[in-house]
Amino acid sequence: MTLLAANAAEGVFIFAPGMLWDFILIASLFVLVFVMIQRARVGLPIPEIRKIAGLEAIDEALGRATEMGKPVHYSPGMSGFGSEMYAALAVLSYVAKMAAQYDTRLIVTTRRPYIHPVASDIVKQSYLEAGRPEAFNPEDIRYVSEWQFSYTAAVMGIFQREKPAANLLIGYWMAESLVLAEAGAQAGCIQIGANTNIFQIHFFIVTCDYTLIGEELFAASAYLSKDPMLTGTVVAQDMLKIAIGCLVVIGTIIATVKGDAQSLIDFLSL
Amino acid sequence: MKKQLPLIVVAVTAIIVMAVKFIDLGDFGAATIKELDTWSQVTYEFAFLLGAINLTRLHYGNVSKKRPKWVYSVIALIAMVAAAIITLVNGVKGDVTVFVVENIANRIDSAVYALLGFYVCSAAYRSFKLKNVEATLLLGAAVLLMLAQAPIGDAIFPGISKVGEWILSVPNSAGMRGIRLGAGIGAYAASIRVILGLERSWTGS
Repeated sequence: MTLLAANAAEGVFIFAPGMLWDFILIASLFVLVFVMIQRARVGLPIPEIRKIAGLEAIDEALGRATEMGKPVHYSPGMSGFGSEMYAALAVLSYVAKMAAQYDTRLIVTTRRPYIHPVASDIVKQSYLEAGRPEAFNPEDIRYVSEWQFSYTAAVMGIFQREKPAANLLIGYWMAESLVLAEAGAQAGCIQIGANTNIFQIHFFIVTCDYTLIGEELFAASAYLSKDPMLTGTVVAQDMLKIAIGCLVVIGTIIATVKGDAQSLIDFLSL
Repeated sequence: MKKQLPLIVVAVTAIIVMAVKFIDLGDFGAATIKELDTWSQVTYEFAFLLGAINLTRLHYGNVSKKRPKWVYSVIALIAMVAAAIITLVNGVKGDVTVFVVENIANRIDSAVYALLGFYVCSAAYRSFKLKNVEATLLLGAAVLLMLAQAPIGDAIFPGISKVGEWILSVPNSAGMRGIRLGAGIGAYAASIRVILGLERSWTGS
């Protein structure tokens, strides 16, 4: 145990202290992803992703907005560039294509100034791919405010003034989640929320019609694109999750039998 | 090239950051991260200018075309220009700038945040309706936990606070950790998709 503790403080081999197992985790995921990509390339079967109601409902939400002749509001969340934002932008790409096909107005609001040009480019490209570049309106892709509640107040104003029929809050959300979702519900929007923040997910669950919980957001691009290579990466992440689940079970057994699982914790802290 | 360059920049930067994080490179590692932070900050400042331009274009359009409720756009433009002038003239930490931030901006921010209290009530009212099995379970758990947290709960049902504590620390924690674990691994996988260039919708393709 003393040796393990000393290694954890100094690091093992060339690794920084406490980073050995993080490296193994990432490396395993890289290997699994690579294997799945190869399987997809040679045409071997890739397991399907289960039905995700929140993503299925995107078409329904856009259809409703089209029938009502009202706009759709989309926000990629409050985070900067990170895994949640990339996932949210992938969903935006799909939503923009569908909106262009349905000839439905899409309003996108962003909190971070550097997300705005990227979101604008994605929507513009999606309209181009849908064969309706003339329908793209740059004024509908709006940078609002860096301040959390200034952004919230502005989006609430959009709900009141422009009365969107659908509200898609996809990304990482914090304390504003309930205010935005409740304002959307009061404006009569069909709402789809997605969040990875465990302290805020429940607000979306009670106020939105559909909610993507945690990892479902990260599966969205693969699910919507139906690209076998992207689907393979979701399968790889599920395999790693099963391995970690097994580790949790082993830890539980050790803790039950020995009284604590400190030896396993020390080993994984290397 | 317009689509390829961002992918290359992201992949190379991600490899550098991962190498610095995983391998003990001492001062070199710290200096690398600091340098990348500076680059990121510079990029951010440029993007901020783009945001301001977009905001001005949108609200100027509202005012010039007299769109419905264009008066709000006038207020937004005046506030933006005034804040910019005050900060440029008085400095970021100047008395007037600090006064405006603390006594106007922060107060308005707090007022919007305070709406949360009212929205919790309206959201609870709608979601606690007995419409299906899930809503019934939610209602049952909510009533039990509210009673467990309030002093009157133990007076009515002795020992209910212990049940509430157990619900929070065992099934609730288990569920939250499960979601966090799944989201964490999902985030890793999403990052790998971006690094390998499999996920490229953010480049507009």
